[in-house]
Amino acid sequence: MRNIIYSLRVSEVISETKHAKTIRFDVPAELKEEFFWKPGQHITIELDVNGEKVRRPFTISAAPSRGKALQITVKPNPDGIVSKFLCTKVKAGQRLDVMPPFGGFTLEPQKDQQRTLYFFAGGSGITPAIAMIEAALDKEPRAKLFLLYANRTADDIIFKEQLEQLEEHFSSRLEVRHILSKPSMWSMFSPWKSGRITKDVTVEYLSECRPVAQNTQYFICGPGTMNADVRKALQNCDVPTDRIHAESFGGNLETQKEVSSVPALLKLDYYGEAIELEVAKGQSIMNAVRAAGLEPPYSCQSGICGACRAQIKSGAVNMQARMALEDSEVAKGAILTCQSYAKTAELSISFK
Amino acid sequence: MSTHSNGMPVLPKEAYTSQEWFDREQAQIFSKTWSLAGFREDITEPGQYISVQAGLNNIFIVMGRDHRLRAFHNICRHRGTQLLRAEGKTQKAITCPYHDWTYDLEGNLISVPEQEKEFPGIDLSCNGLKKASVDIWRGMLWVHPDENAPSIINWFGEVEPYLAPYDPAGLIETEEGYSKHEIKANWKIIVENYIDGYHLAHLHSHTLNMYDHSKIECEFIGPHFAFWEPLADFYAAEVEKVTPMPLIPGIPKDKMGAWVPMLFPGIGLGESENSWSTFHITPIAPDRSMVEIRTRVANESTWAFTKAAMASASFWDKHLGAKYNEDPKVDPMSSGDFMQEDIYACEQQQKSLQSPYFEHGPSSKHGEKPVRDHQRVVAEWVECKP
Repeated sequence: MRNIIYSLRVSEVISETKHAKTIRFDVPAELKEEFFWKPGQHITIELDVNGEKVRRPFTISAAPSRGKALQITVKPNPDGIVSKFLCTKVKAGQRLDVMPPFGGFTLEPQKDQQRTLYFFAGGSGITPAIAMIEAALDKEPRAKLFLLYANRTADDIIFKEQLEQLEEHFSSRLEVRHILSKPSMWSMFSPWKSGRITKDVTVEYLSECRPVAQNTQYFICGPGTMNADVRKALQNCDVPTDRIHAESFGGNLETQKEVSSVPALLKLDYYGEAIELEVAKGQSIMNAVRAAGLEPPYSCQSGICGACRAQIKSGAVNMQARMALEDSEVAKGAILTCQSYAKTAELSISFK
Repeated sequence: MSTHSNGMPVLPKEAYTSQEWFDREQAQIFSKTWSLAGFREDITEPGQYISVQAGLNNIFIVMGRDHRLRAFHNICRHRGTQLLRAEGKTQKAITCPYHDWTYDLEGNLISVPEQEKEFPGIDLSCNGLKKASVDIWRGMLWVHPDENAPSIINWFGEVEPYLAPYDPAGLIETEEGYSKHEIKANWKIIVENYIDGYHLAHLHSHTLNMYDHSKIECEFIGPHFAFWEPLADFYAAEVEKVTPMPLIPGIPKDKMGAWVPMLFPGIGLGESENSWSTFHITPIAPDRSMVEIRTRVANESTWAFTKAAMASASFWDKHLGAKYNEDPKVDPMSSGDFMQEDIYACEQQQKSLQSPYFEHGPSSKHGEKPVRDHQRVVAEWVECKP
């Protein structure tokens, strides 16, 4: 990932629900290529908060195939300075500092395959799901898609009408079901189920939404503990791990565990340049690198986005959260530098 | 052999009689292509399985609790014993009857009796079942021996636009439409009969005359044969009234007729205005084949079927009949059943191949072109395909 920030003009701000907003950007022609995205990827927004730069990733909530503008859809997070700012302060015409699209949680449409694609989305987790769903409907003509979408109430459902329209237009290919944890008694909207996506609900869901194409893929994009719950429920139903793809969204992240660390000498291969620096005990690799005056890419600082990824060549680190990496990638030495602390007194790491 | 301007058969006589040809076809064709394994309804519940012979491979398909199908080679990794028999239901594991080696539904070896004593240091993860591929296409189950098989869409995608414009998965299977025939003929003779447009107006002059054989549109699309012919005028004029079974919805008026493709290798479909069937040829020996026919019809009430049969009976009495008027019990040509007519023709041909006086005759320019084309496809697969 390249660590370049562009100033983009906000073209439009749309209210999706009482709280959630979609923000669209004008991408000038010369940046079109730089800002081309894969469905599921995010952009990073950098704000200056009282003199400190704060970066947060936001998923692009549209497929690149529809000729749509670059857009993100944001729900204010109670502790999120950036999301609150985006939902309350941003107006059309304003400029925001944006880093180009990034992220490994993507769906690549395969036009000569037939696949069954399952999406389990919760709240604002619909943002990568909608981009992937649009892309698959447009570019993978044989894909059959199932979306199970969890929200508190019917009023919290982002893209409700858009999903209805897609379902009507692609009636044989897309099936959307809603599950509401606190459905209002006064609402006319009747969800498939009330409650949460539990193990039993998953079993029932899979038996009702059976795959035709046997190449099935499962995408989970939920807040907080939903990912772990759905993943476990799927595994209980014999779904092999390599078919499950997940990314965590908003809400309360799993509490970060304390990790032990030692002071270390870090030999860095920084985009081909050899640099040596010291990492203090309790200091993340990312912070040590930034303290040395370098500007490595980073975004979410919570192990989700994968922007700060690097490769460990020798030595070892302790990692906190690492949701952006698959087990197989970790086994091959991938680390998230903002989540990594030195475990050995000597370390060699490369950024590419 | 005489030469003739109309064309001569491509394959030699031995292709229909020798064990060597048979073995090569088994290895090069039937063990390397997508095989028809059944209908989607054959496996509906987690744990349910079927096993099928696909060329040299015995493959079983089992459904997991995610309702996804998995396919594995039906061979225990220990001594090679067949794990599962024809069909049935298992729970969470598959146990070999021989020494009780047990695998989970992902094919992982999970238990070996007396493991520490008899197999110290064994790595169970290296002894999982060999995976095969399974998919569903047009409501049918298909298996391929290769775990990384080419997509079934690539295999059938190009011929798909030439098939009936309705979804067979929406039809229901009928018991009356099921039959199984052991035919004393090489599988290619049966295929050639199926795709020969020249014989339709003759062998089946009184049994398939509801279609207009002068308007056949057919061609090979890759290894697959596509075929369509419209209803005969006398039938088309009042098809809604005189169809013997309820019409299948979704066919435009100007396309009413029969789509009769022969998918490679040896998987015929009969997709008509009122029924849909599979005609699955399995070679048994150079001179013997099994044909299994399964049929689906419109998802309508029994009453709708009774009504259509009654309303059309006198019409068909007038238009259909037998080629000859001998005793139908003795003479297939007097049966009034096109299937019996075909079997008779195929078996007689195979018999004649044994005669030292047999010589390939000329092959017709248009009607029998598909026969030569199919022979070319077979020759290509047996000789050069990997």
